[in-house]
Amino acid sequence: MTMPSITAARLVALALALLALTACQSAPPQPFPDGAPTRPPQGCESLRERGGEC
Amino acid sequence: MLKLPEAGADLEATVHAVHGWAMARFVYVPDLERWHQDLAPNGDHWETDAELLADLERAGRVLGDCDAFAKLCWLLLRRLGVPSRLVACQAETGGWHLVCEASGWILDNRMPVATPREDLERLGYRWHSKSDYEPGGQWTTA
Repeated sequence: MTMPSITAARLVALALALLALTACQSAPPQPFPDGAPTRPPQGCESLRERGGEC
Repeated sequence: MLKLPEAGADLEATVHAVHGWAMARFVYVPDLERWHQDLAPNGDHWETDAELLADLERAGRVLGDCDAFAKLCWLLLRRLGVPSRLVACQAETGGWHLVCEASGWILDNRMPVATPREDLERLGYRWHSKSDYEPGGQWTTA
């Protein structure tokens, strides 16, 4: 194996290792987007009738 | 005197602390078993804050189903100043479910730790509606 091919192989291995490491790091979750107004679930409506908060 | 969870170094640490604290004190009891005389028409019962705190003060634990756990997490996160919401959804089983969300982190009694919402989506969760950050606010589609 010639020197250039060794260097290339090492670069490929390094790139693969970095890719693997990146894949292990999870991105922070994204909050829900804004939505359209809608009726609360029935359990929430019932709770509000009893003075509860939801 | 009840000792509530404390905020972590950052949001992720705080949601994990709150989820862990709530899980350690949560006992799953179906609504029909506990609230058989006080159920909504759909057979559901969402606990008031007073009911949750009374459980904790009396027995050191909260008895209920998913909405009791979600509401407990919502109560705890609000007390720590973390904006959070209730989210009505369907789990991968198709069953209706309620969780608590803070900046995309889902606090769910079905999960051992607070989980990114994207992970639950991959599992098959489908989001339907979410509360406001403040109690009594407008619900919106999720």
